[in-house]
Parts: sequence; structure tokens; C-alpha cells
Amino acid sequence: MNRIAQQSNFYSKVIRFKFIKALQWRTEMILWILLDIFPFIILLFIWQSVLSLSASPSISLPELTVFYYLVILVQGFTVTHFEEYRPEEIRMGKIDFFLIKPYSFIQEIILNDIAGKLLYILMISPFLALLGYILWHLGLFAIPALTTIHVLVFVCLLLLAYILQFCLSLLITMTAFWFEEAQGLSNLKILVISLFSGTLIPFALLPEWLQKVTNAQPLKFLFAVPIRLIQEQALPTAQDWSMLFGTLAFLIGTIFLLWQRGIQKYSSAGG
Amino acid sequence: MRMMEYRGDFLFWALVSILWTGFNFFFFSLILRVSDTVAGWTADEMYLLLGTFTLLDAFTWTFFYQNMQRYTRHVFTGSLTMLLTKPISTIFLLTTSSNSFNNIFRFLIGCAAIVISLHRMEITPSISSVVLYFFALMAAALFIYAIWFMASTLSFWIEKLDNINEIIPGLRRVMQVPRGVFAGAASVLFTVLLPISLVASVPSEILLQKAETKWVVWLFVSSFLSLLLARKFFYFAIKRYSSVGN
Repeated sequence: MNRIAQQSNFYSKVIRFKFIKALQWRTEMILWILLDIFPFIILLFIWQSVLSLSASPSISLPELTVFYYLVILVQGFTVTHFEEYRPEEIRMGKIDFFLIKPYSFIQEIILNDIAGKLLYILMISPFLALLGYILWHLGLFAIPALTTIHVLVFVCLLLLAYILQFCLSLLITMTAFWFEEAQGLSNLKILVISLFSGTLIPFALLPEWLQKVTNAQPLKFLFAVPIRLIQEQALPTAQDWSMLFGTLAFLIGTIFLLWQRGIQKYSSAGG
Repeated sequence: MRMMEYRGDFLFWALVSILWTGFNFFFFSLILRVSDTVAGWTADEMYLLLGTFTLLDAFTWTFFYQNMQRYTRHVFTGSLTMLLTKPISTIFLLTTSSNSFNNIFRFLIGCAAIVISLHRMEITPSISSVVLYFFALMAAALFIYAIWFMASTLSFWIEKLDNINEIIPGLRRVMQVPRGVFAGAASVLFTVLLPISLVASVPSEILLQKAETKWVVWLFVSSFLSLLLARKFFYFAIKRYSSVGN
């Protein structure tokens, strides 16, 4: 018990330190937030022009607005991109430091990302609140009445979606031990997630084949499932939960296996 | 030559860029499933617009992205001094020293999309339309270059803002759609004040023979003005530049 308390104390201190360090990039973070939100606002313009010319639109503009608002929210709370720079550290032989300390490279990635994510959430929240208020003021925003269960499950799904995103990023990072283009895989990750996780357009508007593909694989938990939970009050089924936890277990196992194999293969000149 | 030195890298990134281009077309095909038109543009007209955008995007990504990144890095690290002392235009040196040809396949996809769309609409553009189209494309590329350069020049005031070069690529969604999509204040902003929605729309309208003279003229004028402004802004910004000896 004492050991657990000690470990928690250590982790909270590291996270606090990383959080303070991340604060020096606050302007950059604000720019990222604006760049994340901007394309969705443009999408609303596109949809407005599409729906205004459609004789019998299958979806209303407020429904689409809520959908894209939820995409921004889920994205802000769960997406992580450390695979864009971490592979370089492995490839350039810069992780020696972590191999001789009781603080592993994976721990460093986890704690650093949690601190960065906490800061990002703190910074994006006022923007989301303001955007929600403006959209509500324009009559484009109406969140359906949700029960406590829905809210709790939504929060839980956000947390699990973050872990899933994190595991995918870590998996890509681990491939840097063997593969020079690990950073490029980050682009493929974004592409595959954009296509199969339900971020493009509301699920009901997807072609049937894409609905089937989205439903059949775990990337749906990144966007489609949390968004449908809010918009359609569709709680995940037992099968969904087992798919999600099975995927996470598989990813975590694979990551540790790759890490074990990777550090055996790892070499650096001087560090 | 340098690109062929890293063939695997080139092919991999070429594949990534092809996939993103396909994704972009697919995304708009999903929107066009809901309605036959976007701001009055039919599916084939939209694909022609996307083809034009893809040409421009491939071009700007090939020639601008790396150079703008190097430009801001020079400012942040203080190594700009080296370039300022060379007997050649600093702007020229800053923005032409490197390029990346990974996007060459995107360029070809853009060309193919334009040709196929025109063929499907049974439009045979006249020689003058094609010539004007290329001039409009060049004006559009210059406009993107100028505003990107101005955004990068902000690095003289904002320290260590690594994503400053993502501002203009972040506006790409505006370039991909017909200018008619924007109404009210957004229309004024994206077609008059910062006419970024004209860069792919106007050249496409020229090929579709539905271009309005005032927008064609405004595209050329705004490109010229933004180039002048970018140059003036750079020489204004350079006055506050300081480095510590390198």
C-alpha cells in the first residue's frame, strides 16, 4: 500500500513537472486548437450550401452541427500525435538515457502525453464552450436530454478512446526499431482513422459498405460510438465492450512484445 | 537526384500523398451523395474543382512547405544572418533552396481528374481558356506563396511557434470548395479581404466557361498586391531581427 502511494506520488510529481514544461508551448497549442476547429466550421458552410439546395434533406443542419461539434470535442480530448516525433528519438539513438534509469522510455511517453493532454483539455475547453454558445445562439446547437448513465458512459468512452489512440501511437513509435518510415505511418494512422472511425459524416449518411466496415472494427470507438451515444443515445452493447477491451489487451501485449524485442535490437553511438 | 538517393522514402511518401488525395475525393463524393450539387456545382464540376485544387496543393507542397519551414527555423535559430550577408535576394534564397517531389503523383491525379471531368461534361475548352486557366493557376500559386510567406514572417515577432507554417495549409478546406459556399461575412472574408476561396474556384470556372470577369481580375490583382505586401512586410520585419553571432 505504501509502495502504491509512493508510486502515485512519484507519477503525480512527474506529471506536474511535465505539465509546467508543456506550458511553454501554450501559444503553439492555441494555434493547434484553432487549426483543429477551423476545418469543421468550413464544413458547416459546405453542408449549409448542400442542404439548402437539397429538396428533401436526410439530415438537418443542427444535427450536422452537433455531429461536427462532437467530433471536435472527442478529437480534442482523445487524439494524440507523439508518434510524429518519438520514432526519431529511437532512430537517432537518443533513448539510452532511459535504458539505464528506473524510469523507462514508455513511462516517459505516457506521463509526458498525459500532462500535455491535460493542458490541451484545459485550453480547448473555453474554446469549445464559446463555440457551443455561438452555435446555440445561432439556433444550430441542441444537445439531446441525456441521463446520468449516458454521461458516465460517454466519459468512460472518452478515456478508453484516448487509451486506444495512445496505444496506436505507441505501436507506431515501437516500429521505429525496425522501420525507418515510422513517422510516415503516423500519416497513414490519421488517414485510416479518418476513414473508418466515423469522423467524416454522420454514421447514417455513410454508404452501407462503409457502415459495415466501421461497425466491424474497433476504430469505431474513437469517434462513431461516443458520438452516437450522445446523438442517438445508443449505448454500446456487451459485444462492443468486449471488442474494445480485447483490442486494448491485444495492443498493449503487442507493444510490450515489440518493446522487449526492440531494445535488444537497439543500438546507438555514444547516446 | 537527391530524391532518388532515398527511393524508399520517396515511394512511401508518394503513396501517402496519393492516399490522401483519394481520401479527399472520396470525402466529397460522400457529401455529393446527400445532394447532387454543392453551391450549385454538379459532381463533375466539383471533381474538376478538386482536380484544380490538387494541382495547386501538390505544387505548393512541393515548392513552398520545406522552404517556409526552413525560413522560420532560420529566424528562430538566428542563422538568417548567414543568408542576409549573401550577395543575392534573401527572399529568393529563403524560398527556393529546397523542394520535395513526393507530390508528383498527386499532380498527375489532379490533371487526370480535370481531363476526366471535362470529358464527362463534354466540354472542350478553347485555347484561350486553357491559357487563361494556367495564368490563373499561376496567380493562385503566387497568392498562396505570398500569404504563406507573410504568415512565416510573423516568426520575427512570435518566438518558437513551430506550427506557424501550418496556418496556410490549415486553410486548405476553403480552397477546395466553390466560392459560392460562403455567404455573408464569410464570403467577404474569403473572396475579397483574403480571397483564398478564389484560388481553385476561379481557374475552374474559367475551364467551365462560367467565370465572372471581376473575380478573375481580382484574383490577379490580389496576387500582385499580396506579393508586394509580402515583400514590404519582410523588409519591415527584418528590422527587428537580431541574432547572436551564429
